[in-house]
Amino acid sequence: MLKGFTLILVFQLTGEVLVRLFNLPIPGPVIGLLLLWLSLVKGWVALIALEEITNLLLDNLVLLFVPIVVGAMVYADVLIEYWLTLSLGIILSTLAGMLVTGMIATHWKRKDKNA
Amino acid sequence: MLDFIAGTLTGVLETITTKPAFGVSLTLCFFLAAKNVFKRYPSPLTHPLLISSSAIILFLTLLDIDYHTYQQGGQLITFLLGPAIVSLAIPLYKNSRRISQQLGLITTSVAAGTLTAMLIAVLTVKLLGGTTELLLSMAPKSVTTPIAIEISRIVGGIPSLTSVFVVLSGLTGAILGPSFLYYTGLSSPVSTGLALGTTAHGIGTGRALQEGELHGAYSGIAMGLAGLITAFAAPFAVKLFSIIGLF
Repeated sequence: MLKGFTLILVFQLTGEVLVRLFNLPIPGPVIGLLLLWLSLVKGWVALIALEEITNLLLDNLVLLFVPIVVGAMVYADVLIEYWLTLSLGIILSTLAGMLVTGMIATHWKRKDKNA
Repeated sequence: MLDFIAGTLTGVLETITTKPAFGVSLTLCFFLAAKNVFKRYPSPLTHPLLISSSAIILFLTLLDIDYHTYQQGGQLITFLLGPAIVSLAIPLYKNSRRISQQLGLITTSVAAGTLTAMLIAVLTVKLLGGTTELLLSMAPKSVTTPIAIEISRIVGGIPSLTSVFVVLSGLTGAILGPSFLYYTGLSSPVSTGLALGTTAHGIGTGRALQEGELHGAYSGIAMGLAGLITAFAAPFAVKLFSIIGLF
């Protein structure tokens, strides 16, 4: 568990350092994710060393968002003032995104079958 | 006598709330309780995140406890989001074979859906008179919370607002998604899975799993990819939006 957590933190920090060095507009942990993925594919890191800690983190992922969502209480006035605009933005964009992804996925599948 | 008791209680409350353990234990207690509520009444509307964070907000407001006092403990939990993002490499790695077999289909559909959702969200809020801060907080809202929060910080949004939009998008996708895809004739497992994961991240993936194992697998892949694509594309998209005068 401890070894896995250390590995994860080292990957995260490496990501943060690369982001800083190359001035990338990308979250450091995302670079850490890509580096870890690459290391797993290449066999530099064994899955077994990581799974205990990553299962713990991913199984309880939702818990980790709670304090940030609670932070919205500070912006209650903004949320109340713009509730209609925000609701429409969220509903329309979610449906539009689904439509586009779904249409491409469905069309692509038909193309594969015909080929 | 009553004054004495009231004074002592206030003192005790103050001692408790100023310890980081307060924020951590409050979050854990409400979250565990919310998980039980969800187990008993499973629905996107009883999602543990929605229930626990509303309950905590209510608790803090009623007892008149400052948000920053709560955050002394809250931020210890938030710290684990970084390691959690890195951990997302494991499900992606486990699905590597499926991804490489259908690389074109998956990346094209997820990327197009991600960019569409971002554009429509920003456009709608802009047309209806939202502020720049709201636009920037809205841009990364379709992807998994840890990544969305980081992107929001980078592009100049408000991470807390983004987190609320992320949760609401997830709920919208999970509630409306399956029937919307059914009526539009796009309800194959691949299509449903990818569409839910792209626009409704983890909450959508939870919903996709109820439809079937295969739906869930594709949704999980889409959620990870959408997060990566948004992380790379959002800063450039925001720059582009500002060039064409959206901000």
